[in-house]
Amino acid sequence: MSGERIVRVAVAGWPAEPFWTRVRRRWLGPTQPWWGAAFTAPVLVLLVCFKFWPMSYAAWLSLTNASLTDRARRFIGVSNYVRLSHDTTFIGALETTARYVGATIAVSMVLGLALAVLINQKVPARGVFRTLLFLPAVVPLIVVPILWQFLFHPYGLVNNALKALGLHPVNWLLSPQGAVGALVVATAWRLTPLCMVIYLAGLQSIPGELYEAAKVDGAGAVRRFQSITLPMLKPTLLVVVVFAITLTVQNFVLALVMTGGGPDNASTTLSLFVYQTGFLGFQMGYASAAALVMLLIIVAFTVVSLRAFRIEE
Amino acid sequence: MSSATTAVRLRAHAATIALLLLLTGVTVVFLVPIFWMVSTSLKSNQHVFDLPIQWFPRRPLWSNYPTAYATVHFTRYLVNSAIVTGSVTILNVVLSALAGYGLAKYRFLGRHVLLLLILATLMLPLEVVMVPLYLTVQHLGWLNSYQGMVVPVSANALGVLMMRQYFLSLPDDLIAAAHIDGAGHLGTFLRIGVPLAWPALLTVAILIFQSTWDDFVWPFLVISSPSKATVPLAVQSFQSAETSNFPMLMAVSSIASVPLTVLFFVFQRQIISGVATTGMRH
Repeated sequence: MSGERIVRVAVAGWPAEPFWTRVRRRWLGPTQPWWGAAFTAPVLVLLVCFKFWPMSYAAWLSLTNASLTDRARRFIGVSNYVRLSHDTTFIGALETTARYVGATIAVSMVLGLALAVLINQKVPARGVFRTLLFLPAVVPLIVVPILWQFLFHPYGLVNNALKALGLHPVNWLLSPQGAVGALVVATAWRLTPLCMVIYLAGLQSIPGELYEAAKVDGAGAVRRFQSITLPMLKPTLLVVVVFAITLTVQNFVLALVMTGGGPDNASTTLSLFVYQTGFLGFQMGYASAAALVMLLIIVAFTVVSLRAFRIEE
Repeated sequence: MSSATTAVRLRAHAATIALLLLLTGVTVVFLVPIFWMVSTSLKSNQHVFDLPIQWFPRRPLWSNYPTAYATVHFTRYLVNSAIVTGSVTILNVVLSALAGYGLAKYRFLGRHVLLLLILATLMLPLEVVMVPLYLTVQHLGWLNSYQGMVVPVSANALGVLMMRQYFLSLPDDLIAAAHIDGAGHLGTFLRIGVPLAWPALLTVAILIFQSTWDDFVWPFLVISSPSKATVPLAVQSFQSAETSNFPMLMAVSSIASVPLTVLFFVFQRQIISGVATTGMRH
């Protein structure tokens, strides 16, 4: 750092040096800049080919009537988007996504925070609890829907537990409400441990003296949580929100395997809609338009949460 | 005095015990599904829904495991998964290390833009670009091939960002000293950067390995023949063929969970801290 500053001072105090050399030094740095670009080039090429190019290709496809089976493509303007706005399946998928993502995130964020706060106390064997509670996140993603489909079987464990509690069994996977509820539970089961671990890292970065000082001032546990933990955890909350939203909006494996989007499209989320339209319905142009809507939602939520948490700081 | 301190101590003990009980309760609830998976995998099909609930099968059918392993032909899919995950991990680690080093240790035109572009790809999940990506891979003639599964996911923003963060903490003086000693740019990277960065390299490798092994969507779209399928695809196709043979389904699921569970217990520290910090990068 200090060496860099000395170089800059020397450059600035050298009137004989040509302007462009100065600019070059200022912007490109003291060492050969090509090497930096060369080191970064392979990743850049791959990201351009398999991220940015598909992205722009999707934008173009969404304006065509591209199909997986037919090579001929015609530019049809914004017709796909107009069609989306009238498509009841798509509108239904938007609603389902809102309910599914909202409920999943609420459950895993609150539960994850509660677990992290519990484990962060001075409990014996907290490491063991952390390890055990993380295990649902270790179960392979493809196993999660298979396992929960079994647990949500009409005679399965979940309904047995409900009966033991004196509640009515629910027809989970075959009723519209139950299917979304089952998806929420299964997703939250796998997401909560991940949230918990991120929270824990945030909690451990809060200096202990703050709590000691508050205790001396006579603040109770609830007060300490409200006035110290929550405000200090704000950056972590932001991380968890963005992480959880991106993960739940994009994921369609659970819906695909557990409910197949049914009954009667009741549990079809946006990403499942994109998959079904593009790869089962062969309508690549129409699916691309829906995919762009999905991207818009992810970006909007990320930007909104970034703003919301930054303004309050 | 002394009775007051005993009272305080007693109350602290009671609080600890209450906390322990609560934590144990929650942990049990979270682990029951996994326990039930293993328990069911050792039952016969007609005893799956027996009431009262048989938490431990009366006569465990251990033979379910060899049967499940043989029916699914796990060996073939484990080999495929190893090939794909291994290549993706190696490519990712090498490319991330190179790019992270370039972004952290060189000042060149557009590096801030480049960093932002790489960051932006974090908001661009596979599911958003799966349609055009599929068409691109189809155009390249890579459908139903290993390179089709590997190359499109061989560069990852998270790996680059983690490596950049690590190399930023590496003192510039070390690199300058190596340059003075006459080492070239690549030589400095290989002899100074890489050996010092191995903890970060290991973390990136583990995280990439885990997520690639676990990935279902991309192989599912690209692969159509069973000969190139990975473990998750095999599990899914077994599930769609045997929807109601629960002991077999749970045995297959348990077998499929073994590799990632072993990985977790061996590299627990890296995986947990990796999850905690990759969240931080956003």
